[in-house]
Amino acid sequence: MRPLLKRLFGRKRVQSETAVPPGEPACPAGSVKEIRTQLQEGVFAADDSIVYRTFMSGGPQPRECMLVYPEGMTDNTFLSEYVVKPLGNVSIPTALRGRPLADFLSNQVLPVSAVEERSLLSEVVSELLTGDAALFVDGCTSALMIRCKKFPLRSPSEPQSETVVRGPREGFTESLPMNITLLRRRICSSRLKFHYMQLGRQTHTRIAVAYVEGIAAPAVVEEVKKRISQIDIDGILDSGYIEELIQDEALLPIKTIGHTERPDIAAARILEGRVAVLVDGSPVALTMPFVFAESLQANEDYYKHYAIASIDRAIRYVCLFLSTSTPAIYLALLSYHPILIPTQLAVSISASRQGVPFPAVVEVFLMGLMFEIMREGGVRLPGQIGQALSIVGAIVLGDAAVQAQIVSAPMIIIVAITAISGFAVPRLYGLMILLRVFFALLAAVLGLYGYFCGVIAVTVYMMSIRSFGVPYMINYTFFDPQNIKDTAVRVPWWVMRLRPRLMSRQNPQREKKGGLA
Amino acid sequence: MRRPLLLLILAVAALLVGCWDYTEVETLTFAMGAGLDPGPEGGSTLTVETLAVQGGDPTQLVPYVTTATGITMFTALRNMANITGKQVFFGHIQAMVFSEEFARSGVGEAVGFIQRDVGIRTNMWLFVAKGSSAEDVFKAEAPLGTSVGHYLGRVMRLEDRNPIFVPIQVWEFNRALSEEGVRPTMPVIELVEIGDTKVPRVAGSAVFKSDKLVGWLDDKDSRILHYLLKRQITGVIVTDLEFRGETKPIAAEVNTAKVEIIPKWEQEQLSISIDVKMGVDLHEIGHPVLDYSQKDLKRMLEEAFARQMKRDIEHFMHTIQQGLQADVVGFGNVVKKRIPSAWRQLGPEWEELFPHVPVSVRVAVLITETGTLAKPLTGRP
Repeated sequence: MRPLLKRLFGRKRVQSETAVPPGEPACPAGSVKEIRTQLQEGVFAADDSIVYRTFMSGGPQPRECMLVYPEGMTDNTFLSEYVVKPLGNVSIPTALRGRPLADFLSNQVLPVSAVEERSLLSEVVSELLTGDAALFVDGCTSALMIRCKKFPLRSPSEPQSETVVRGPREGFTESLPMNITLLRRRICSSRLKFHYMQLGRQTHTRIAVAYVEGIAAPAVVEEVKKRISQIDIDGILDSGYIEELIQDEALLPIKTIGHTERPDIAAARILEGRVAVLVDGSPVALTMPFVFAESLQANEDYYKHYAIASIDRAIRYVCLFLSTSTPAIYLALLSYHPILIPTQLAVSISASRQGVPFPAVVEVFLMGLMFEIMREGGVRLPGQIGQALSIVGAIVLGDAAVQAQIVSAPMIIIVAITAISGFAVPRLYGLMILLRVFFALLAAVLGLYGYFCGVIAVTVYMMSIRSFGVPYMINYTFFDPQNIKDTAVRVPWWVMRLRPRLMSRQNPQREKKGGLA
Repeated sequence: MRRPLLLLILAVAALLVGCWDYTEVETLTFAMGAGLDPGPEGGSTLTVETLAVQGGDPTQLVPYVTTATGITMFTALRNMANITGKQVFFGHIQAMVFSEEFARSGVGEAVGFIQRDVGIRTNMWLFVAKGSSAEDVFKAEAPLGTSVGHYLGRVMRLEDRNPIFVPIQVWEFNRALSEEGVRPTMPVIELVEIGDTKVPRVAGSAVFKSDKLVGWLDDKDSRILHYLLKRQITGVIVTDLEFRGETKPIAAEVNTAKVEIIPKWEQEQLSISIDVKMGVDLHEIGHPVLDYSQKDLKRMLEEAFARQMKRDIEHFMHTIQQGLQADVVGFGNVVKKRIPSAWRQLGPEWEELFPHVPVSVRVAVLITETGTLAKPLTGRP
């Protein structure tokens, strides 16, 4: 299927522009003035957001210096205090006894912690654009890049999409260094590795691949790096781009890559031998490989009592079934097998459907659609308007529709069950909508038989796919205590001594024996 | 090559099975009970009780009884659709009632139809209406319920409380019809008048030979039939006890019981013994002065119950052996299973032999609990 789609929609690969065309002149050869014109009329032509600050150094033989930086991205106080001021006071000797001027400046003049020398103009330009300032001095053959990024950033706050009752309240932010900090603070080990990569022909987005050496399977780490390095795209604005570009089975909304906004979840997955991908500008970290069982796990499961967590998890499995199957089973029973509904219920459903103009099939799809419209309409609404929406939804759809006999009352119950149980498993929401429609269609034409055929087909398909080489349904393939431990139930921590298999075969031990148990 | 073939096989397998019987549930009317009477010109009259929805908030379900005639049950059924304007759905039917006249002419065809038809469940209860038509039964008042069919189904589930009838479902009846050495029975419905309404009451049994009704068992005999058929005694047993010149009823509830039917084959002679062992809770003692924690008294009561039970069983055996001459308990069947060699001789002539098989009854009763918290109340004279 995938090759076919590629053939239909894919474009021929275009050779990407290389960042540094070979043979480009090494940059700042001439005087500061020349460089300025070179920049202003070259790469930065027609761009007013670049600031050029020229000043003279002190001493008897003042030299012309120039700071170039993008407006609003640098710490101006820092620049004037630690770059402009010391340079204005120092007298730069003409003879440096063989030492390059850049060395002298960075070692003896500038009280700046991070400064680097760059001799290629293209390097200077690309670093400049990330928020560093470039210092050019007359007579110096290279530029000094001063790391003084400062731009408005959100501080870590609790992610709206993944709230917890108990657990850390921190969430990833849009800043890659901060996200790395958040992870490092949780795993203070030298074996936690961050591998930097850069993506996006225009955006030059920084990406960090994080994993714990010795736990994560090297093959998976390599595979992740390989897949990311093959991406060739204009820009990466969110980790969602990467997710879709590198995941297995991208056609159906079956998640084979996990995502989270919570550093604790990311850290837990990394510790289990998974690989995390952090993307600058996105508060959502990707984790891989991702197996189906994870969809039904929540970080809170691991923070509260295992028995209660197990009940919650069981409820999630029930919700998964309810949300995907209720409409289909209702349809099948009502239209094909009324014999299977308890007598009283069958009679009362039949009674409530008297005078309803549409057949049950139409009703199911109509109400399902109405609910999805309400959901989609409400997702991006500000809170105040959201209330209006819920009132309209509750009154118009819930009550008035039944009163006016446009839909039957049991249908409202079915839609409500479907919707509420859908929210209990947020990670599978998209997939569940699809399955719900798929099952309902089959049930509408073939009854329970069709529904079961659908369930079997979906199960077989899910059993067949893999995420980064790990079978997607690995925990469900056969009955084994190791498989059950963290799927159907959540056993106490002192029982989960081993890490999930296939993620971390080389180092399976999670806990030492002894301890509590 | 292999994959398209596999898909083709799967598609064929998926599409060539299943029932394409899509119906909208509101186009069905749910039958709760059905009755069969002899119709004009040798046909049948089918009465169906369905539930009709009556408007209002909340909507109410009221029984709606309609009849249709046809040459057979099936044609009557099809004719009914023209009357109700809705497809009658038999998936939830509770009761099927045959009138006496219909049952005497044979129910085999009707029961066979129910058994074989796809849309009808075989777990509906069967009844014979005594002294009234099946139609009248459904036109009677159902106490505490929406419909007669539903009421009958409810009564059947209470059999253990007061086993004066033996519930039977279509499949059981059919099995009894085809089995050797047993005759089927059905519970009997009689209409009794309560105030100015007629209420169906289920009590007693109708005895069939082959598929034809041949006679009746009264409440008492039906109770014994229930005990022997289910090999279990439940409910309340009552006996009269004479004490100090006074005769008063005493009642006990059976809590453990064992009923065994043991055939003996000795010198080419078949005899059957019925062994009953019961543990009972004493509940009511008519005599206020009895303190039944006394040992002698306990034995006296136990013997009284045992005597009564033995008398009842013997009465029952007399009825079915001498009166109806129908082996409704299935003694023949027990012989067939326990002593197959004897059955090979007896089987073909079982019908003639059964009335003359000697039956001995042994009953042992043990009062295990007094079933009450205090001594009997005694009124001060």
